[in-house]
Amino acid sequence: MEATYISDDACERIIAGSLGADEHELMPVRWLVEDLQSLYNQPVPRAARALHPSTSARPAGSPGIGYSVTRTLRLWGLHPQED
Amino acid sequence: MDSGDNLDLALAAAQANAEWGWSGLYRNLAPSVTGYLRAQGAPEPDDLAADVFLQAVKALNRFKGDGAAFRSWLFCIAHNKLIDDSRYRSRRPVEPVGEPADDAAAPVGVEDEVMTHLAEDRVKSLLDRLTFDQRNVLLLRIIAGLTVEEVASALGKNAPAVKALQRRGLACLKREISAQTVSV
Repeated sequence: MEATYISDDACERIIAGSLGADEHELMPVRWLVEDLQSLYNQPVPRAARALHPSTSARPAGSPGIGYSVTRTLRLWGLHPQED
Repeated sequence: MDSGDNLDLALAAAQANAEWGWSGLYRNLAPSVTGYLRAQGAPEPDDLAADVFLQAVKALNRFKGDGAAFRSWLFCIAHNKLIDDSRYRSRRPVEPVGEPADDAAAPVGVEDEVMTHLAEDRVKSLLDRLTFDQRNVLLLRIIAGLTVEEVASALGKNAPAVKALQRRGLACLKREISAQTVSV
């Protein structure tokens, strides 16, 4: 198998997306990092439905995600704020 | 104001029981927590992410630190939940049940959907080549956006150990990508 060594500095440049022009052999790994970031950073509304199913269907002008989350937490008796 | 400032403000507000504080923390961190759990292969990442935040709510009064420390602490909870969930499932295997498609996150067209699945399959097959620790370190760095020191804190390791895992993990990925390219 091909011997591979990547220095700590090069690791940081791969993750930060700041590879130099002479580091083209590391570009495929950088592209994989970009794929990871785009595939696994979902927008909030999808995740928010795990806490409050009606979040995605809220009408304009109604309370936002934070309201739904805290309301749900409060319903479960877990939110520290009392009202 | 950058996202670090926003996180600090949201944390301070949540600690003062202000509703918008939880909103800010959730909006800021839920995508990466869910993404981290999904990339680690959690069968129900949304549910597990909700558990992570509920645990954070319950334990917030014991937390000390700024927004960056909170992020690291939250991913420490996520990591522990992931391990607990994996142990629980290994003891009580269940038959998978099909779920309706998630329309909010789904790509617009069939072609986009197919391409996304292909990309995800490829990424998962590459991640499967890593050890558990290597995958953990790389996902926390790439998806969660934690620094080496924050990953070390979240996983209970020291920074040189995290750097070594990161180095070996990226080298492994480079080898695997080269091998795939040659075989195609």
